[in-house]
Amino acid sequence: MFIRMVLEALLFHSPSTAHRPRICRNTSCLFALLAAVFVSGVTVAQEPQADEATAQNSETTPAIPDLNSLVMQLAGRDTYKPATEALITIGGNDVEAIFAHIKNRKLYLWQDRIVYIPAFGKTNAGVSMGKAYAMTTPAPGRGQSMAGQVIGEVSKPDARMLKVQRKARKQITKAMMVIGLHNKDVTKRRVAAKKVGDTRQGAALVRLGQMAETDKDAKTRFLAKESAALIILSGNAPDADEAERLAAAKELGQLKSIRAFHMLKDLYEAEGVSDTDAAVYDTAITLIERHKTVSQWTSHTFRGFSLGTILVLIALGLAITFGLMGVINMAHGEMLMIGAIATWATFSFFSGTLFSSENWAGKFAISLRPPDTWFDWYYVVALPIAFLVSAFAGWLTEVLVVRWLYKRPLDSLLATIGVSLIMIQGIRLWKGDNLGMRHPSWATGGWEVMQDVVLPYNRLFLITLASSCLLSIVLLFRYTRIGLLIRATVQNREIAQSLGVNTRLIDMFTFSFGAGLAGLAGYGLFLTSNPTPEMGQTYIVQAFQTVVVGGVGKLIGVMVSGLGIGFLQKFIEPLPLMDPGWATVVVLLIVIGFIQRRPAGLFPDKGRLANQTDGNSMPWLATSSSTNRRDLILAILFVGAGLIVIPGLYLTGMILPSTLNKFGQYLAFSMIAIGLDLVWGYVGILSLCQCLFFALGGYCMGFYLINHGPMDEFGIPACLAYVMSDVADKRPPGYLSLFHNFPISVFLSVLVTGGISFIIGATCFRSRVRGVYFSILTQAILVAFWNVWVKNDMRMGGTNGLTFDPTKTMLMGATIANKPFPNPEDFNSGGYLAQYISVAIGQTRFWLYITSFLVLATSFFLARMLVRSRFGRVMVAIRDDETRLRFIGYQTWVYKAVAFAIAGGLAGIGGMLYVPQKGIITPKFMEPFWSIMVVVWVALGGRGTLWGAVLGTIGVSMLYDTMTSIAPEYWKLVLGGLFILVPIALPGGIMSLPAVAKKLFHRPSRSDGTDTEPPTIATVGGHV
Amino acid sequence: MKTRMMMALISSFLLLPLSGLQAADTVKIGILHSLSGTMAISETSLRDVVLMAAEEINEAGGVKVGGKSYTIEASVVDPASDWDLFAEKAKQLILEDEVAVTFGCWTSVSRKSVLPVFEENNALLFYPVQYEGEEQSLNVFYTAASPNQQLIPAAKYAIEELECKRFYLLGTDYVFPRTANRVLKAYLLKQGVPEKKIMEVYTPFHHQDYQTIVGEIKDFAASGDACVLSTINGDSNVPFYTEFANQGLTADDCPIIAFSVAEDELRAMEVEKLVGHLAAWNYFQSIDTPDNKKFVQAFKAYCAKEGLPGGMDRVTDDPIEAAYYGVYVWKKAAEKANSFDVDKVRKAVYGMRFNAPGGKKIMHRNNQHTYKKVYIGEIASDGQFDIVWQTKGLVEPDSYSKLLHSKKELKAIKPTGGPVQQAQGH
Repeated sequence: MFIRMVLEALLFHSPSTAHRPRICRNTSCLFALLAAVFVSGVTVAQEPQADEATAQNSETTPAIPDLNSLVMQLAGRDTYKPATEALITIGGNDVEAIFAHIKNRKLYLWQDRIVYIPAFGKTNAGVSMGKAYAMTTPAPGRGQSMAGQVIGEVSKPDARMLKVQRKARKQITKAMMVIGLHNKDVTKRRVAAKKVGDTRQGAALVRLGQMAETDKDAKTRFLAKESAALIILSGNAPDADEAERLAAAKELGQLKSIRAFHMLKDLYEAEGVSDTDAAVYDTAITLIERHKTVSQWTSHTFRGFSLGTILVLIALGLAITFGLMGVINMAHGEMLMIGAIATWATFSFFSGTLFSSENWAGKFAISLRPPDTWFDWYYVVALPIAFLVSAFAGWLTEVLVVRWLYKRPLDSLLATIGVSLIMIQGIRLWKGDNLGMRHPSWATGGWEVMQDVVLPYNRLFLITLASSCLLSIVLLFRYTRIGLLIRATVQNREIAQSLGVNTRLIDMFTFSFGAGLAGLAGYGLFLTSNPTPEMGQTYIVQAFQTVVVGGVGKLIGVMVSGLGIGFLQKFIEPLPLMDPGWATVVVLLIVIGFIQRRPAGLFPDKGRLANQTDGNSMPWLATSSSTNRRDLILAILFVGAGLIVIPGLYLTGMILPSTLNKFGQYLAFSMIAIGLDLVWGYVGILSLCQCLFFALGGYCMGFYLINHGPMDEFGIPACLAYVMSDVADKRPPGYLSLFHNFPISVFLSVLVTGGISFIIGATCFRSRVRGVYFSILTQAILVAFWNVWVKNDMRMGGTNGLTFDPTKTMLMGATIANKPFPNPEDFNSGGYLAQYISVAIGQTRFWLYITSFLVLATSFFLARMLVRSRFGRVMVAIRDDETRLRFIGYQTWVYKAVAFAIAGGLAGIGGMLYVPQKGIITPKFMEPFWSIMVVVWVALGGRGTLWGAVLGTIGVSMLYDTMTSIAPEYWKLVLGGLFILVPIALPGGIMSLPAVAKKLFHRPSRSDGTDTEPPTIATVGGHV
Repeated sequence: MKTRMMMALISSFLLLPLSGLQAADTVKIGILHSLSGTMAISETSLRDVVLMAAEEINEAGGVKVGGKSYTIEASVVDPASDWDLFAEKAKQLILEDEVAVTFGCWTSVSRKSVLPVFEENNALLFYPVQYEGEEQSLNVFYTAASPNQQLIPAAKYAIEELECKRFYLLGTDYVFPRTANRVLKAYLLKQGVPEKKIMEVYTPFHHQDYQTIVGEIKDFAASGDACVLSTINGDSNVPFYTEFANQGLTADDCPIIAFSVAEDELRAMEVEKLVGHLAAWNYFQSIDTPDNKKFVQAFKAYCAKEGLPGGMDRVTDDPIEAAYYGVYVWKKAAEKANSFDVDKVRKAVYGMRFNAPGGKKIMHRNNQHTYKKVYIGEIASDGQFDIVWQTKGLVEPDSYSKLLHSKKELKAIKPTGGPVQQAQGH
């Protein structure tokens, strides 16, 4: 009986245990001390003695408790309380096991008894069966019965999970922690030592005291000491006086206990704290704060390093395919994805789940299936597989696509986007988006290098992986023959070729090697994120950024820039007022500023891309005699279709109003494309942020429209109301008041878009940023804007953007949706058409279409005039040889900046036309993908023709709209195929179709392409 | 599967000009879920389950309206996670395909994008995903939870059961987490949690590097009485949970209660690291009723039969259930109204009581939402949730939150959309 009470005092020393005999309550302090003395003799050596205690317990208790019924009582509303306490009182291994099973929800009711069922498995018949272990009454002197005898196989429907009352669970959980202090398993003891402190259980103090002195594990000793001090400080210790509490505070300070920080702070700030106490708390807080600063910045440094190495890892492959070979490899992200998927597939293959078990592949996999204990080795096996599979994908890409485009790197952008679309959809069709995964067990957890600084193992592994990749590249390039050949080919292909290097083979090898490296990055990222078909898209922008900031073509640059960006991000993020979004913005601004200061990256080099400008020249466009006639024909066709045929079809009801609306939107898109063609096709500046201006123009129009739509009672437009419904001062955002008047809104929009683009242009071109550096800089600007715009606290609608109710929103005095089209039967039969026309012609959206067309036609005409003016000749001259022009005395940057501003303004006007027709504007246009799509439109249509921009835009947009409806699963393959075929077969885009056709059908093909003719497959093939 | 798809593709090409000649007794429904792009990972399952429901209804004799039974014909499009394209596809479904009803959307922005389209044309959308509320359109039925049916019970659970005193509200920066955290914060403050013990942090979409934030949580939760209320969305979840586990945090140190992680998301995660963390939903696959078991089996069998990725390993979750019974609600309403007319169907939906796979549900008598039970589940090692807590009865949905608006404001709110009114002239 005495022992039983001691155990009880140990386990449950809290005032709430009301059932305890009075004697115990009165002398609780004494008892605790006694218990301490007694148990320190008994339980230090843990298990055997503990069993002895149980044994003695059983001996002294005449009635053996019926555990089965006690556990069953836990489920009853009225019975759980005494039952819980009885169980805790009994204690011992049996009860501990029962408690653990209750916590893990493994106890079941079966045939009126409690059974323990560890797991259910599927039998061959597809029924869930599990082994049931009996719960026997503990025999004296013998512990552990729950995992003893199997009493039967139970099918899942027959067993009912034991639903223990919630309060009982809670009490049990607490008791479990104290019990856990005796656990043999170090990790469990650690957890218990921490948890009793967190829950401030006075009952654990004694045991904690022992552990702090005698536990074998240093970390556990530390935790025990810390928890004991925490409990005493919190006032939950039964016998601690004020002095002991202060001593505990002091000790926590010396332990540098972050866990105590908040409590100390609360105590320090509490009212009525005496000065002496406050001083003690303050010293402790200072000590902990100092430790926090040190440990946090150590962690930040590691995090920066880790992020940096991940950036290096994802950029390495691109540093080769793009940096050295000059291919603008937009499929790099997908090579990475293939690597991750290959890793995933390796795991699934060995787990026997990759293929259905019915077909031969599945049977083969199952026959090969290694034991589960080998699981951790799958990751090792996956390393070469990920590399080889990605390298193979790279090889295929090179052989089928890229080899045609070495002479035209800008066209490789278009083709590799096609490759990337096909790869994404291919993987999706094969296995879907949702791929389960498991990490190898060693990748979980981390290494605590110093108190409160944990370096996760997976990140340590990634650092190793990145360094070994880097090292092997350096070794390969510096010290092997193939490395020498690669360098020779990169530096001067012709000479290398003439010296007998098989450059074709070298190209193939280099590209595959780059792709393989990307695959290794995917292999590494498997440990931090999940493999999905879309994952490449997350990394591609960062990869390009890293390569370009480092200096295209320099491996050392990739390393320095990757680590630099990583450190910057991780050092800025924890600063006050920062969050991941703002930190990204700041880093991007630094990157932008950096490129402006050093327009050729950290380590300027002469890679294939660095010294070539010919990617821009389009000799086949030089023929001008026929352009006038061509333009006239096209203009007639264009005006005829846009102003007569489509409106005619619409007015007579042959096409739906929504179709007309769609065409209106395509026309708005064409405005961006014309702008891009001006700067890209004529000046040779590839901008990757044109959609930014489109979005900004759209937002200006959006602000105007929501000002003239439904408002709530505070004058906040409907679409912003729910975004800001918390704010105490319910006032519309200030910027909205600028956009009440239509002409002012239009003016502001042009001013903003033109102004921003001029500033970007002027600052970049003055500091002579050009080529890919400019492209990546514009992309960085775009991403920075996106990061600001998606923030809800900017009060611009966040990711939801601006929407408005078209039936209630006024645009220049009319609602956008007006006069619903009645059904044909509502008309009287005679004048049906006339009435339809009168309704159709009164639609605001019809006039929006007409406006879009007229604005586009005017812009087109002006753009054409511009490129044929003196200004336009300078533009083309800049494209073809800027240096020479500068020597002649032209301030080339002014021309470039003005052209860029015009392009920005045109995109802005496009955005203004788009929004009222679409009904929504969101920051999605600030995602890099859409600006790249504009490049695709122009490239597909044909650069430097203006017509190509319009045709490409309308063509691709129509295809996108149609294919996503009629082939929802396959449209990416179709579009991807088109993006690959056009640049290979038609170097000048759609606009070169007549010329190529003429060449194919009317003249015998010549083996050497002259400058005036567009190269075709035949001629390009001849070059390689 | 590929051949099946190719056949469908080819036949759709062939049938395109003939579509006017199809049998008269079919009724078209639209399915507007992204099948590619970033949202495909979640939305594809909803397309699958809606198609399954349609197939079930067809096999059971179709929709009986006006003495005839109509076979459901589904029109599937891919809005490609492109918000602008959602609006275009909605127009196509309503105006060109002339569907009777549309089932679709996941993200808030996609719903906001199509909302004006549905309202302008007085069409009907069933929206199956829990969301931020603050909306009540007569053209939408919200079959999933509004904030008070998911967030408040979870916060209550954290305070009362987990005995948390410090709350780390972590979300992806878009409107659902923002509004959710606003509601949660209002509730926590009302419960007497001091403001300095509530942290609110947002990360951009697709955020991958959670090192700093987890470090911060570790510091915040060092006192052992904190929890994370997570509204992290999509592909950020894996990096977050992985980092959380790897920096040595467990559900014992600091439980995470997630509002956007369901069984389907767990399929893509390493569950062992997540065991013990929690989620709040209105449905779990583990709900132990014969109806639910039948539903889960049927869904798995359907995926296997159609050769969809995952096959028998597929799971059901809250949005999948909500999407599924949405089809049945519409069918029952159309039969009750004896018409496919949107205004009549809408009226028939109000107050409808029915048995969903997860149990009884009631459509609200006027605010377009659904009465539902709330469950809190703990992640178990098999990727399922152990239900650890549930509300006693069905919880009435709020369209606009009572915690964010005064009574006067709530009274003044009128639903948007509805029957076409004669708009003003030009």
